[in-house]
Amino acid sequence: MNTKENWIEKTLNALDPIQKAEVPMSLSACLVNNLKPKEIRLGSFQKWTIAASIIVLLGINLISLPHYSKNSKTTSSLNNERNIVYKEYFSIDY
Amino acid sequence: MGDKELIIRLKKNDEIAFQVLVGLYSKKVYNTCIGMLQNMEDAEDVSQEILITIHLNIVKFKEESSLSTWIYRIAVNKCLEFIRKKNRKKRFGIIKSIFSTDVERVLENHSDFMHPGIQLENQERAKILFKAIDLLPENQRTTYILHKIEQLSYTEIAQILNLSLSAVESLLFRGKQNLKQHLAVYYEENEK
Repeated sequence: MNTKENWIEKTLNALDPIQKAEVPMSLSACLVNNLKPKEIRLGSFQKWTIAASIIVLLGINLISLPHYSKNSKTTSSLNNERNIVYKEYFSIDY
Repeated sequence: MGDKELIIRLKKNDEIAFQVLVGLYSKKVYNTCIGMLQNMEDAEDVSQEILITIHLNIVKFKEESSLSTWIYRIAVNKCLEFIRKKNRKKRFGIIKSIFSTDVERVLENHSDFMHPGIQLENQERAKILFKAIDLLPENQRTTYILHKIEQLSYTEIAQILNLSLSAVESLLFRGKQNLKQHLAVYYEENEK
């Protein structure tokens, strides 16, 4: 066996007496933290902000509701007028 | 606690059972990751991901193989996934290298990996060997690491990788031949 082959053989065997690496403590600590059910705690400011935004949203809806019903009434009356005109001009009953 | 009891308790989401599992398998998972990824920080991150995946997917475990085989299979797949992701990132390396600093470039180069479990007199040779292992095709690298670092038998490797015994033997043989070739090239360039 020449020096080159000898060197290759020795390098290939460099892992042979290998010891297992110890698991770092941080790994198990991270695992425990990751598996704990996470509690979501809201501050009072966040709570009030959410409550205020819900109130604002409801308020906008309540204000817009009468306008919406008015609009639907006017559009329905307009449609009725159109139907009458249509009937007058295009009806086959002479 | 036997494997069967451990699995039953894990499926019931028993926290103590999970701690037992971590105690039994974290070293195996971590060492497989070190060998496959050749980077201590990446190995720690991926090991954590693997153990969480095991915890979340234990319900899906059909017990067709042993728990150890199933865990090794997850570990190998996660490591290969990580390597593929990293290689995809490397493809954009040319553009990135224009903007990155020298320090970043040095940090990204893991070629001088030193396994903590190697004896002092073998450390230099092991560094060279790890560089050569990194050049092997994916399947040859995986079988070589499972056999050399994890010291698993051919049968266990075959079960983990879903291969036949002869396929594992052939992969290990070809892996060793390729390693010899890479080392010969290294010898010609550096040691002569």
